[in-house]
Amino acid sequence: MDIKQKQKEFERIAVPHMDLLFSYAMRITNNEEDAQDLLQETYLKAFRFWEQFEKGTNLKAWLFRIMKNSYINRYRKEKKEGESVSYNEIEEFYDSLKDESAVESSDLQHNLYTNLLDDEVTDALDSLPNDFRTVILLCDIEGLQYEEIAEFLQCPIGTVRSRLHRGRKMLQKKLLTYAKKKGYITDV
Amino acid sequence: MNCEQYYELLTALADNELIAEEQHILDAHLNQCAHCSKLYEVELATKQLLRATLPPLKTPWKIRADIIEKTRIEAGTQTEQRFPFFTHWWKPSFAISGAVAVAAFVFFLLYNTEKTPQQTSEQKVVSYPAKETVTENISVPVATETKQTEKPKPKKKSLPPILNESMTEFDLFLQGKKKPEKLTSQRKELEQYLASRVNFPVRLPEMSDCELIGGIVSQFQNEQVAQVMYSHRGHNVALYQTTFNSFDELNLFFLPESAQTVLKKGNWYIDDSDSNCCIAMWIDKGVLYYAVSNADKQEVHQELFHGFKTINSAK
Repeated sequence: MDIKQKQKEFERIAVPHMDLLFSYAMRITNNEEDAQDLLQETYLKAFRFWEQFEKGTNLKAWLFRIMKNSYINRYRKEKKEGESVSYNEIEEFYDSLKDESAVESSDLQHNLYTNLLDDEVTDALDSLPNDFRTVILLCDIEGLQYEEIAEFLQCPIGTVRSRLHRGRKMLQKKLLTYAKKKGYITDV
Repeated sequence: MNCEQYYELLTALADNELIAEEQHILDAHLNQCAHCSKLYEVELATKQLLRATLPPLKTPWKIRADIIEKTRIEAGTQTEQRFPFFTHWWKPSFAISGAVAVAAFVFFLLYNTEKTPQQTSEQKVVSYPAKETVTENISVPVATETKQTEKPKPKKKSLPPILNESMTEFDLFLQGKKKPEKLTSQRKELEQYLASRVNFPVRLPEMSDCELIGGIVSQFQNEQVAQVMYSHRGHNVALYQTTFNSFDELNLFFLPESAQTVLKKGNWYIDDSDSNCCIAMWIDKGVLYYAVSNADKQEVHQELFHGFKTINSAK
């Protein structure tokens, strides 16, 4: 394939995913300038290594992986990330949730969801450990399927499902706590 | 299985990711367990809350264009910026240098006006400021009546009298290094002037809250482009008109497919995802109109829609 063909193919196949990647870049960098740099680096790398993309495999996941690696290389040292949380801590936290009355929580949740501000939801999401936040971002915000997320994270689908389940549960708990602090509800 | 074991399946159910066997088992359980049904509702509500709070974002036009351009440059299919004004023209440095150059141009005009008594007829002052970063408005006097003394220019229908072959000329135009080919606030006059230099009908919408500054003809690849500058409450509005032999060429504008679909259906495409500028595009009878502005987006949209409505209803 000559370079012109490569460029045409790249624009036809890879560029349509740009919104998805930009959206994800914005979520992980939290500012447009960094998101732009990250997106640009991702696409330029993808273009340079286009021959390495195996046709028939998931392009979105491939692009996401490039973005993730670029992000880690560029920002790992500069940005605060919640990736150092150990699984033991998460297990403990998760176990503490099991004591909640689920039915009571569900009733409260319906009420508080209408009162929460966008920033409060974003803060709660940002406070999650990185592994859990990532799967929630990819699934709930970007709309990726479990298989695509698994390919991106290079882990089994079961892990994606489990992290999503726990991540959402943690998020629900944080939102309830938030609502209580803010006085949206008086008892959690 | 107890409720705790079903709980993880609820997450996958909310995501529509259960396999048939799991779905069957869970459906049976949900039919008889109010507790898990409520948990399922919470799961769905959480997803909806996230989606509503953080909707998917759209890549701003200039970021998309920058990236595509860089890959094209790397591929060697493009050696220079095709539409540099999309990515640079609102930048403060350009705006400031533009303002300085315009000020010099004003001085030049004023100086000449003083030296030629026959040109003291009433002059209309059109505000031609740059961006918000420039605090002082700079006025460009436009001698409307004196333009009548100009010799009519010969009609050219083959190729326009292009200032240069590249659209980078537009940057110079905004920086004030090149003045508009035609500086006038008279709509009809500018319309006729541009129409005589391009081989497609030029239509200038009459926008109630916009003042005309002038126009210029340029060329992009093999296509002629008529460019018209308006001033809207101290901001620039640039309206371009051009034709394309094939609408597939819209790709040249780095348009997302969704935008191309909208345009091909005859609707307006508005991109205001960039905080610095908005772009409005429309195709009518084979002519592509696109406006770029750093003015208030809603106001410019209204002006454009109103202006084109007036044109269409007058036909």
